[in-house]
Formats: sequence, C-alpha cells, structure tokens
Amino acid sequence: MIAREFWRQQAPLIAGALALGLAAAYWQHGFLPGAERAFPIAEVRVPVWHLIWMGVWTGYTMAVVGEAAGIFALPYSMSILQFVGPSVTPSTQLLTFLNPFGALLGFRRSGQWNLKFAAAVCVGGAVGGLIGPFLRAGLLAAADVFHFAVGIALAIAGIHLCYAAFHSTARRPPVDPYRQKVSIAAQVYGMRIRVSFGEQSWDLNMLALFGVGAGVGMFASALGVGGGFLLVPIFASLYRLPMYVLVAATIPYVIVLSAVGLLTYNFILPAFGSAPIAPEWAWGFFAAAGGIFGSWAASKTQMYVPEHLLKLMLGGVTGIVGVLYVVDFFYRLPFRL
Amino acid sequence: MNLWWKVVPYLPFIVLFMAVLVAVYHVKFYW
Repeated sequence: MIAREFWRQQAPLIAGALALGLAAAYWQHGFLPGAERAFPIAEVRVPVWHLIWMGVWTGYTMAVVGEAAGIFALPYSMSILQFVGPSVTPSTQLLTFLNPFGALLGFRRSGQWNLKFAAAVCVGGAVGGLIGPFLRAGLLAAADVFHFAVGIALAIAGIHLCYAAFHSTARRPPVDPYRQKVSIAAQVYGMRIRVSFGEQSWDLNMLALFGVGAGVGMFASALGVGGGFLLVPIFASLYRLPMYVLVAATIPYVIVLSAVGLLTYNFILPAFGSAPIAPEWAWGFFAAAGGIFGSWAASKTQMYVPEHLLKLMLGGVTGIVGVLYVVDFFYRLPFRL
Repeated sequence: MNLWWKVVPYLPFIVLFMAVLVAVYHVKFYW
C-alpha cells in the first residue's frame, strides 16, 4: 500500500526534480558540477548525492516535528557546505518552494484545505516576498549581518520547538475526516473570517492575517526560508489554531511566498536597478528531490516517533546554532561558522 | 517487516546521526 503510493505519487515528483536539476546544471553552466568541479555560483565542491541527502535529512527530521526543511537546510548550506554568497538565499528558497507540494496534495485529500482561509495570509506573503529580496540586497547584503539575521531566526525556531515539546497542539483532528467527510470551511463577514472544522470554529481578522503574512514573508524571503518557523507559532499561540487546521493556510503560504521570492530575486530586483541574485538552480532542485522524499517519509512514520524528545533535541541544536551565529556577529568565534 | 516497525521510532535519531557523519566527512575532505 505504502509502496504503491510512493511509486504512483512521490516517485514521479522526485524523478521530475532530479531531471530538472540535471537540465538546470547544463542550461546554467554547460556541465554537471559536483565533487570534481565546483558549483560556479555557490563556489563550492560538493557531490550531488550530498545535496540530495541534505534534502532528505532536513525534510525528514523537520517534517516529523511539523516544520519545513528551509530553516535547517539554510544554515547547513552556509556552515557545513560553505555556500556563503548571497545566492544561498534563492537557492534554498527553491527547496522551500518545491518541498511542500507532496504535503499539499495529502492535506487536500484529507479535507485540510480552504482557499478562502488561506487567501489573506497568502496575499500578505506575496507582498512580503516582493519586499524581502530588497532587504537581502541592501540591509542584509554583508555576510556577517546576514549570519546575524539567520541566527535570530534559528534562535526563534529553537525556542518554538522547545516550547512545542511541552505544549504541543493537536496534530490530528478529533474526528476522522475521511470517514465523517469533515473538511475545513470558511465564511467571510466584512473584514472577518470564520473558519470551522466540524463543530469547532475560530473567528479571525483578515487584515491581521494579511499583516502577519506580510511581516513574516518579508523576513523569511530575505533569508530564503519558507516562513513556517514564525507563522506556525503565531497561529498556534495567538489564534489557538490546532495544527490540523493551520496547515491549510501555512502550506499554501510557504509555496506562494517562495514563488514570489524567487520571482523577485530573478526579475523584480533588476527591474528596480539592483543586480539580480541568481539561484544555483541545480543545487535547489537536487536538494528538493531529497526533500520531497524526506517529508513524505516523515508523513508516513510521524505517529510512531517520540515527537517530544525529538523536538527538544532539534530545538536545542537549532537554538544553540542560532546563538552561536548571533555571538559570532559581536565577538569573532575561534572556529569557522 | 516486524523489525522495520521496531526501527521506525529510532529512525529520526538514526537519520540525524548519519547527517552528523556525512557533515564530518564533508568538512574533512572538502574544506
């Protein structure tokens, strides 16, 4: 059953991402970079299997704890693979764009899908995705300032993961959405929207959703991550939305924000007189191929793993790395970050 | 099959351990 689902739904997506990676390498550079010849934009030598593996492990471990791969793949690319140029941002953004499609299809099948609910925050994300790349090209252009900003984001993600280890929101709905035919519904009243799932409902202000989407989108697209590390805790703690409802907004949000961010880095920055920040396309596609498999594997095994311990562990590591980045900005540490 | 399901709870920790090994390998041979 699981094998059939993998070969029918996931394998074509993974094969597509790998094929796009190969095509992008030849189109952008005329050869396949890897362990022997450095990726010309990233200026690093790394075997292609390592990029796929980075997607697999970041996609798997982060999806198990309800986060996306970007917030782990970005510091890994910067500190371990030594991709330190500005192109690391759109290259990781390509991973965050492609990664959530498998999950989106899965949640759509289970009724955790409502475009009215997702619309306001996604429009905000699109606005944020237009502004963020300008911040990256200006305010965050220097490598040390960018490291500092990534450090702040990692520290936030670390604190959220540790907090969520003790105060987790309900991941699965109280009713089986397949059997009971329950899905997320939304009704708009002026500037407010009432989101409901079965007998539960939440009243939300659409202007606030737009503002949150734009603010998170600006910061996330300036770094090159999907924004889930900020949006999920805001939705869970401020709006008290359970995980099985908020994914209907956060997953389309990450896709929209990443798409607009990529568009802005490639086309809108040069239209306003800044130099474009081109992604290392093959890098992003290869990592995404692994990421699609990793997040699918997580969705199949999530309920069997000790989430509490894993969140504490990942939260601890993420938080420590974040603090090191921030400290390194003020006092140069004796090792390379 | 049974062994597989016994391993699943430890899978994230195995994956993280492998990630550390691969990272160490990369630092040693590519830096």
